[in-house]
Amino acid sequence: MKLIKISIASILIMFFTATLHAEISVLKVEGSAAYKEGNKWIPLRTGQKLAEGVKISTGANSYADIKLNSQNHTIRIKPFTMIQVFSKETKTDTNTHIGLKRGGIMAKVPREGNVKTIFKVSSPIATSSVRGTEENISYGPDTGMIIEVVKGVVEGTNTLGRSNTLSARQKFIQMYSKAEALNILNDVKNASIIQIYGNGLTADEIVTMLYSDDQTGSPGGDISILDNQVQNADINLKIIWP
Amino acid sequence: MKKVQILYITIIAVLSLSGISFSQDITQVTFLSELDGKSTATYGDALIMFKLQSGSTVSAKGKKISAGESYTLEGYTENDPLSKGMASLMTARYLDLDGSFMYMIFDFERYAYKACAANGIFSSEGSENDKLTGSELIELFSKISDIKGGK
Repeated sequence: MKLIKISIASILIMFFTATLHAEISVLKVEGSAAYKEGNKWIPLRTGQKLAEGVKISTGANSYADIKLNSQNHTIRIKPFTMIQVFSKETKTDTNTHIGLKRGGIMAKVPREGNVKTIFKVSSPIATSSVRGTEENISYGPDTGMIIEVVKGVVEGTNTLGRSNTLSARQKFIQMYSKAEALNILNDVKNASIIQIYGNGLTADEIVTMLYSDDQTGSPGGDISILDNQVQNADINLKIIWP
Repeated sequence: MKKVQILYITIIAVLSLSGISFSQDITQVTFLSELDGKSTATYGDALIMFKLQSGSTVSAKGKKISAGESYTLEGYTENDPLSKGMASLMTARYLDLDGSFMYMIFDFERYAYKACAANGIFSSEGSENDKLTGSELIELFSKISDIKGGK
């Protein structure tokens, strides 16, 4: 009698566990990609089902596409990446958590109206939370964690709880040595503005001057041709801030 | 008895076929896992990584690197600790980087590091003399892969 009760309890536990864990499956593999079982790395195969908490690693010129649940939440694991995947789902919600140890992933998390979605990617220094979006996330010890939004809205939060909400063209860059992430428009700013030094010269122009004749027509060079030709001029500037 | 024998043969055949499908080069995943835990990467590690990045399908370990490759450096042995300057010079040669006028003139580690910083490969905080850890070397190759048009 006791044996029957234990058997029924085991079957019930197995049934409920099965409904909690989402099906993690391999959609495509290119190059060298493997998952860890015990202490061994085993090659990934297309169509393979993976267990909750699986660790996946990719090599050079390699990638793997992984489907995380029935809602078509997918990630592409880029070269030189190692991640650990946890994914649960019920009929009303999905809960995915990816630990990014190194490298980068591209996540696609399409929005389903009635399904509550939690999708988090964590590195040792920050976490990204997304809903209905596409994003590129990378992590490494030198440049820290970078979240780049492709579509939709993402929230980046560092380990001190300081967060930024990002949309397209914005980047969350959290470095190891900083208490706060860099300005989310830093990249746009860097692409739009150059630093100038004395006499309005850029760093490259100064370096050029050190090793060759001045070719910039700057006040430091030969500007005798301009003697007695000083005039005022109006300049119209149209600054387009993206 | 005959049915049991057929069953055994079938099982062995299935296992053998699955073994064939597992024949990916896992050596490099194992190598990366070991490199990740190293507190100081070596010049030899960097050579292996460049070889893998160049599309070598052979196992990463124990293969000779041709001295004619653009990324090889003179005056170092494979066990020498890898500095950011050394890795920068190898990277700048491999990617044919610009971004630093001085590097275009002088093929030195110092200016190669500046060229790498200008291209976002290394953060500008630090120096060319800093030693690279294994995980930093892997991060460098993630960026090289992106620049090369990784998938």
